[in-house]
Amino acid sequence: MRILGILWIVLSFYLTACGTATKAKPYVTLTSDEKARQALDEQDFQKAIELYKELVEGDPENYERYRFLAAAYAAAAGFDIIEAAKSNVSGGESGSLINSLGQFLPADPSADQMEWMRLSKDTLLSMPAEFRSKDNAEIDYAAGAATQLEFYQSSYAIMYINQFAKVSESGSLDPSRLESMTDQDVENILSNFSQVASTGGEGVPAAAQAILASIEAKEGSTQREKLINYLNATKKTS
Amino acid sequence: MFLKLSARKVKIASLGLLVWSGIAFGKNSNELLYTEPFDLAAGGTSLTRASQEGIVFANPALLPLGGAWLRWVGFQAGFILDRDLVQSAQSGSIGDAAGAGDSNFVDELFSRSLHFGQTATLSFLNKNFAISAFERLELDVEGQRFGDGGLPSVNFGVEAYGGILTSYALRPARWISLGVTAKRLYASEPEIQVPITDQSKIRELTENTSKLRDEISPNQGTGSDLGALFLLQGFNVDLSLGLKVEDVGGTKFTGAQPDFPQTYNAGLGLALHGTKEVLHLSLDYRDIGNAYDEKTFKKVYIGARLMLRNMLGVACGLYQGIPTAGIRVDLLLFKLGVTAYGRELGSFPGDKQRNMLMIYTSLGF
Repeated sequence: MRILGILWIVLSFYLTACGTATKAKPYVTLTSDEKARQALDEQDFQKAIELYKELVEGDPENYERYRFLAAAYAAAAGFDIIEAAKSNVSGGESGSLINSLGQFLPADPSADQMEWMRLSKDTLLSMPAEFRSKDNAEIDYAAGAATQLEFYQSSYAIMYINQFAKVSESGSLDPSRLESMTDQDVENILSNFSQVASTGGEGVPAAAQAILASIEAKEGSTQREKLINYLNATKKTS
Repeated sequence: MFLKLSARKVKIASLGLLVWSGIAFGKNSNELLYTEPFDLAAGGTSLTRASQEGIVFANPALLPLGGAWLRWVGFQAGFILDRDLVQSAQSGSIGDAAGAGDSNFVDELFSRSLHFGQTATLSFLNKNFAISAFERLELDVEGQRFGDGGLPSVNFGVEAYGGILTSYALRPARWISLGVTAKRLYASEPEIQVPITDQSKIRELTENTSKLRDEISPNQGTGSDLGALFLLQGFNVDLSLGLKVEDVGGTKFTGAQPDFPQTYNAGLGLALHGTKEVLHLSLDYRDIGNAYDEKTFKKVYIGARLMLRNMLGVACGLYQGIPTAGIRVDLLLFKLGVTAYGRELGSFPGDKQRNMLMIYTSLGF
């Protein structure tokens, strides 16, 4: 036991003295991909966006980088992929998608956040369809890109809604904000949910379909009225 | 305890969130299949000096050095623990997470890596001949927030090696020693990425588990190494140059295991010795021809060993730029040691650094 004790004391001294930080960093030059990846992992999203944009522009047919660029945009907008993964999105209830993703998405998004979220989905939409398809087994990352697009497009629609449907502390929606929603805004929200729903399948697409069905079932002569009625019913109870 | 906890975390992540994506194979580093733990403490330098059975793996030309005819007969076992995990467990953060539900497990999984393993060898070495049977198994689990092209993934990496090596060496002149090693190896190195993606791949994994089993089955290969050591011996100072061609012509494997490419390696050593104490300083540069396509920092190993009265050894160094340290006590038939070291599993410093603690013991003489 004495030997073990001595061993431990001496080793503790060594460990404290040496630490674990690599000493090689100052002597290593990273590639552009490594720099971009490092920025993303360190959650320096603005730098990651800048670096991945350069990489995509330099080699527009390397579509795997589009996924990282889209992820950086989404994260900058406030989308947290870990929280999204932990959320329980199902197609059974129309409010499940809004409530699940709404838990961590910005409740009152800024113009910058809206723009980054839009760019995240548009970056993926700019890829050829076969590179973001769940049915294309030949491309390793195609199914992952399709899943990303579902999340980002849904999040964009929800953040778009959040611009108009802010719930006050009393639990009611601000009517003046709702009234400012134009037909074009409504079209934008519904078309994004529709595109997600059209991909089919369980999870996010089914939940998006449930939202559309619930909106359609609400009273109103226009899509705008139906959406406002849906938000009044859903947001107040969420 | 740690292994049990790790397994539980992995299980929860697998069941709750994740699906199978793909398997990649391939030894992607110039690191030795096995490095003796005290040599690891000395930054993994081993071309000009290696301990016990480590000679067979490091440079067979080292066999004729040393006074005794019998170099080592014995068994060695080592256990590798994740140093960061040990520290987390001591601070209680893992324990807190364990009692707080699956969400915290997921957060923990994506905020740290797990790395553990074991090694064992059974060897006989004399001045001209050596035979060693070994096995080494290391498991690495890492959650990456943006691992799968922007989606979270859990990466499982396995390094499983085993085999038998035989070495022969001779010293035709006082200043030169030559050696050769023949090896029969078993290797399996699956890297499995499990992302949050489509349900069809979950079904592929769950309905056809034999696929996973097939992918991690050991693949066999036969290869050889050539070593040389040039030695200038003085009264108190020795200078040495170690050269080694590893995996001559490439070591080919059965199954999906890619070949180990041929590499050229060189090391410099400086030993300062008294009657019972030796300080050995060493520098190894591995894979000179860049067969593994790695950055320079991953090829450089620097170390210092101090042996006191042939009973106590302390060592420190830099293993691919990561600090190492260790201590070993020799008590006739029984040896005990601890090594703290790190490995860079990624492509650049800090990318996928793992900090480990190896506790090892050996029985032999």
